[in-house]
Amino acid sequence: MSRNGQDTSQWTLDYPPFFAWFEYALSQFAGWFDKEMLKVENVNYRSPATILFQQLTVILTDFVYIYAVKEIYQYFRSIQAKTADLENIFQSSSLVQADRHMSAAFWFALLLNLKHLYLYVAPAYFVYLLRCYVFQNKSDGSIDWQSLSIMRLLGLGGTVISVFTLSLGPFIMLRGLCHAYWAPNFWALYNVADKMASVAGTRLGFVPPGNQTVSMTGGLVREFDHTFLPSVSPLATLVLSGLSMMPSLLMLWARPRGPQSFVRALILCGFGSFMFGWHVHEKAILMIIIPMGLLILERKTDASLFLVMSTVGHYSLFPLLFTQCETPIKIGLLLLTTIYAFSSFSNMYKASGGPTRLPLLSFIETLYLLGLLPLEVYTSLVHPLIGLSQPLPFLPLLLTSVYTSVGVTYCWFRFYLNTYMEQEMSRSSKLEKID
Amino acid sequence: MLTFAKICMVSLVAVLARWCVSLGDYSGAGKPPMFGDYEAQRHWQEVAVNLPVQEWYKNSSRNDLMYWGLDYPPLTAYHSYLCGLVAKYLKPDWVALNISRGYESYEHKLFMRYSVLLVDVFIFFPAVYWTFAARKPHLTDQDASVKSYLLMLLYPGLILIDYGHFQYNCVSLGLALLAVTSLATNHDVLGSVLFCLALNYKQMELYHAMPFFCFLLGTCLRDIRRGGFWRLVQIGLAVLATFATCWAPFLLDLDTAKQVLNRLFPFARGVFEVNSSLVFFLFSFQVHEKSILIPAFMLPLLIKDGQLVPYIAFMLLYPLLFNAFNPIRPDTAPPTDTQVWVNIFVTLAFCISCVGQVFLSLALVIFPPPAGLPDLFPLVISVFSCAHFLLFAAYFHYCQFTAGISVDHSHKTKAANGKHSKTFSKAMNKATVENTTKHKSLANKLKLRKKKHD
Repeated sequence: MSRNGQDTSQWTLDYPPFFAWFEYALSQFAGWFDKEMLKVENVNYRSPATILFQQLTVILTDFVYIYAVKEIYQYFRSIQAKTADLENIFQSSSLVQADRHMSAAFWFALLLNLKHLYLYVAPAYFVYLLRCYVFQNKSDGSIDWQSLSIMRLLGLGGTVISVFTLSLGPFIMLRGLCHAYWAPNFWALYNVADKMASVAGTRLGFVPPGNQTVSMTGGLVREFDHTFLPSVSPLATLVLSGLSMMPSLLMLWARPRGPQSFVRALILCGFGSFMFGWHVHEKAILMIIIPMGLLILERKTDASLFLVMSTVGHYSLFPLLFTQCETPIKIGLLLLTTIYAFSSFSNMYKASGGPTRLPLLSFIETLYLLGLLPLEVYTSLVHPLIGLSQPLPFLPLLLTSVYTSVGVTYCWFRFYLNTYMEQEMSRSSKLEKID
Repeated sequence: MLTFAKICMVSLVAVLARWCVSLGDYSGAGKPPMFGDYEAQRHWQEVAVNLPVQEWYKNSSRNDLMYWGLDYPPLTAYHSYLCGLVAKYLKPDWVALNISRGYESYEHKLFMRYSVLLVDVFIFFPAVYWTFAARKPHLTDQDASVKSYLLMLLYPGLILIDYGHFQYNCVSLGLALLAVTSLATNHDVLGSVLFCLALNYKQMELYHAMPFFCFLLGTCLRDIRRGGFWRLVQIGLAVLATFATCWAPFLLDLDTAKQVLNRLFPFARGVFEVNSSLVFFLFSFQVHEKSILIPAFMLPLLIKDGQLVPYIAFMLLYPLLFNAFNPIRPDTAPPTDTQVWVNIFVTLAFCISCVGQVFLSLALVIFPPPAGLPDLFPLVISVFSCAHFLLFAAYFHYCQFTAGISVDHSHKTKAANGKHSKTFSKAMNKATVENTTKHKSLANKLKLRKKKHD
């Protein structure tokens, strides 16, 4: 499974070295199930034993996630057991001890070397650890420049660098702006706008016909140019992602209030890189949704945003599961989690919906989410039935992508607003305390 | 949390579990020339949609009864007809006369699996729901109803057979269950009709016919002065009408009717079928192993259908689910001396049962049978299960005779009468022990757990 000029398969390894070591470890056991799967020349080999083995490995590694969720659960339980004054708890460093920072740094560095996807949220980690571990807070929550600890800085830097010295991860810039399935981000809307403009332009005579660009969704990886709007380069996406993250990092630096502000920054970095990143895979939306789940107990606004984001975000993953036999599974699972989320939140916040509103949501949000139903009916039922599967194969994908990007963008803006309001509230309450 | 939300979620989980099993193999997948039950069902759609009604059960050049001839009552045939119509609309190749034998494809499998899911969700799910929703509120709380609903819907045996092996047991069982609940809520005529429908779907339901008959006759006679006679007449007419309607096309001449009966009860076939020689079924002639639906007992069959992984998953999951969602609240009174001994016995039996099941399952999968005894493991499993059945039979007989007689089976009120339903369900349990179907064995397990917690 190496990239040394072997051209046997299109699936060359493109994750950092630790992932390669992980696969190597797995391959030691694979032989017990079916020796044939380990032969390099057996491209697309699928025996029942192979499939069983692969699925078992996913199930087993899932226990890592389950363990993490259990830890979070116990963390929340311990918070509830303490005072109801969340502010105090987050202010105090008792929950964020020195060695926890270091282990956080270690685990994150490890994670980065498993999947470089997490590079997107590295700025949040960097800022937070620098701000809260290397420096300390003054009594009013602002930074105490005198408290710079060189030892801690070196310790952090050393841990991270030593993990990275093993990393030779090639950063893939050879792929196209959009993944084959179009993550519902800014570029999806950008592409559609460009496409519509070029179609309109052709009709109106501005653009000579035959100048159509290659379909942006064709193939696994492909570059393309835009016709009307300016073309986008990887550097441009990097800059835009960085810019979109700046406000959140500044807010984090200015006044970190413990783990909660870190999680908020994490989410906003995830959002920023999702919205503007280069070749974003739709599954990156999980990097936003899962941390958002950590905030649902705190504020109603966060909980209601989570409801919108998780429903829309998970729905945006539907095009990834395109085989017909997966349809009942994906719809069933989404309905199950959505119903559970809505009913348990409604219980928790004592907020039942109304005739025109789902619990915790506004009328517009409800309307938007309900719009997913006709969308799904169209993409999976009507579109193939009226025979459009051949002439317009990417239309369902396009519709899904555009519709869900609207929701994701909305959640991004609202979350930024929420975070800013958080910041303002804490600042004013701090001022009140000092007075 | 709203009970409605909970019921939705439980139903979704049940659908997901069923669909995941559906992704696996079905009976006879890829095994010409005869294939398996899946092919049989497809073949019946082919026959029903291409031939006139009178010829469905007759041997002819167009309908070779040796190749999966119809051997279920008319309702199954009508159901196959409806499915066949849909199949013909979607893709005629699926049911083309004679040409479509052994037809297998990705889309066809989807179609067949969806056909099971549809009837399951619209017949079986509501039947189970009503069973628990119809109980008197003070006898049980909402939560217990939802938990029972969950446990019944996720019973492994039914899922593995209907969605793994491929059958439509959910229809007949659902109808029978609806009939039981109807009787328990004093809707005797409706219950009779529903049971006749169940019977006309699968003749297997005859095992339940005696309790239905005895119970209805008994209560009518008991209430003979209070409208019981008139009720008896109504029931009789309803039963006759239901049968007449179902059998109408086949009653036009005597030969057709006789032929159908011949297909349903082939006395020529004998006691033993395939590998499931079950000595203790001497009392019921012509038994098919699927009428039992106990997972561990069916393991040899499941392995043949490639359902080993779902089997393992369910056997691990179901006890955990049962533990987490046990709807029975333990008695708080301290146990008497006899109860202590009974508890000890039950716990011991339960442990032996579990250990035995695990051991036998492993043995069946891992060890090759000794040279002279190729069917050793299936036979041992059968005998082991037989011991269970006999124990349960003894227990339910005991329960029935100590339950007492219900006195106010009143038709003036529509509300369910606790004792009435208790006696009736005990009668049902007794009859079904000879071929324990899913909800009965669940009741067994519930009782066992109850004893265990006492």
